[in-house]
Amino acid sequence: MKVVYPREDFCVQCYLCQVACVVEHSQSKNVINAYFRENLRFTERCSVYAEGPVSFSLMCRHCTEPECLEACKNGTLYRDEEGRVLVNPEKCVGCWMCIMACPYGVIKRRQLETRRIAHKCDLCPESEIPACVRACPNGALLFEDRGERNDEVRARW
Amino acid sequence: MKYVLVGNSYSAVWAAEAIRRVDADGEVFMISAEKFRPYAKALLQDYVSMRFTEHHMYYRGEHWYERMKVKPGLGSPVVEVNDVAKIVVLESGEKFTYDRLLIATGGVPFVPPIKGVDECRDVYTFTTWGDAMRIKDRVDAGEVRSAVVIGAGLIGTQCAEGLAARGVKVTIVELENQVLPRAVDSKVAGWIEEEFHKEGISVRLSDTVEEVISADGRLKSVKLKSGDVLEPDILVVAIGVRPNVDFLRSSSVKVDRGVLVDEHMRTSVEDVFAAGDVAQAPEVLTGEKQVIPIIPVATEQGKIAGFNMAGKSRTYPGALSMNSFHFGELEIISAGKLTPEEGDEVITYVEEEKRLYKKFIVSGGRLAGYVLTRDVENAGVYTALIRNRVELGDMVHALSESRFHFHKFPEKLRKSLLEVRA
Repeated sequence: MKVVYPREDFCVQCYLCQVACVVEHSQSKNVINAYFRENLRFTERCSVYAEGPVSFSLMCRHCTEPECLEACKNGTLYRDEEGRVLVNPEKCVGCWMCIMACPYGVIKRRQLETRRIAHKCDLCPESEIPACVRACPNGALLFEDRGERNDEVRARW
Repeated sequence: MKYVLVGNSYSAVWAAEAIRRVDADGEVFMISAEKFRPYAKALLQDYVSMRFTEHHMYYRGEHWYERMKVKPGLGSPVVEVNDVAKIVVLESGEKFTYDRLLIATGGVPFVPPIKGVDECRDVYTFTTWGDAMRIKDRVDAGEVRSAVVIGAGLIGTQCAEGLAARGVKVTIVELENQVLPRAVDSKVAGWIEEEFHKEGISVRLSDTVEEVISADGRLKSVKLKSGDVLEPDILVVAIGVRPNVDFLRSSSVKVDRGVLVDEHMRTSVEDVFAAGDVAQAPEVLTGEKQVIPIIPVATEQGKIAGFNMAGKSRTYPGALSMNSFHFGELEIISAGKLTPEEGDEVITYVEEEKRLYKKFIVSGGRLAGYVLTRDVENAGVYTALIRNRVELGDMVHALSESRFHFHKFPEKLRKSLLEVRA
């Protein structure tokens, strides 16, 4: 399955991936409306990290054996038929067991009106190529199939 | 191939799903004393408080058994395992033969021999949906204005919060000198006690219930070691759970505190496996076999057991203790070692007014444990550092920084994590 991989040598720390993510997941699909009318600031599902000349954007790897799913208290997190790891927003109770378990540290907390839920990359179900990848001006995000994204992550460390 | 899974919760569900990934046709039976399809044992307090509904409680969809081609056998506990004839016997008299057996019977609450406890009908435990329903029914009927909870571990504190949310006046009685002694350090425990105070929950530390006084089976009062006497409507005993292993006594399956398993989740008997709160498996930091009754351990052990049962060899990397919980507004995640030993380095960062806390225990140059409050979103990175026994090097100075992440890692490790090549 294709997922998004960052390339730190190409990232220029422009944060356009974060903006594109917010707009893609808005009702209006318009940057001004998304940030100012729909109040979606800080709801991006990818995060840019930077240290000196090093920067990259990071989001869910949609692991083949996701640790977030193993930690989830009530089956809120699930894998769909295509292999995407998704949150059922109706079911999430905001216990953050997934946050505790994710070895990539890419699950966020999202404030809804009355409760908080787990929030993460869904690979943009409405688009063929995820918005962050399309928005990146320097090819620092690649949407590729590199085979099993097994949680041999552990072995890899 | 015929698989019998004794259990119907996190471990058994993951074992069944793993078996099905390898063996589409084998017969799979899931046997449980409880009548419900798999549900979230960790949400019992939210059921009592009515913060969440039944819909949130079910761990898998309504048709999960059919989809997994699993035959459930619910409502009767297993009373005997005959590992020579390969038969399990239920209390109902029903018998199941197996080729491979999984023991995933979880834990049972430990009720100490407190004077008078057996004669009282208003005494409850809080580990099953049935327990929560019995308590909730009493609350719904307006019969519970006050409660005493013995034990300030996770079960006791969560039960207390569930009851307090319904307007019940709750007192927690804890023998140790802080709440959650095995999940947080004393600093965070103090903040939790403040949250309890705001919620109207009283906490009595270094104290315990010595006697339960009832009349005609109805609770009248409880006498504490300190000499104080409380008059609650119900008493909840939440001192702890122990592995549910009594039915194995006549079998040759080796039991220490829990069922002893190797790194394939295999017990001392070739075709018998165990996983979850009942199992005693290698721990990742010490390598010693321990019972660690938490969800991510139960599910992973269930998965590994399932694969091995179905003939696909998988090795368990070892259990790590970790917890994520919140009390009132205070969100807490902790993992690994919480009490430093001699020679360990301890790094702390506190913002008192924000209730922000970070504590790291570094052992032999590697992260061994952490406690975080409030700023918890990168917790999984720390968990992975512990699990993978990463040598911290210079990273040790950045641990407590806000948004600590891969950008603080040495280049080689960072690149291998970011640009994973198959």
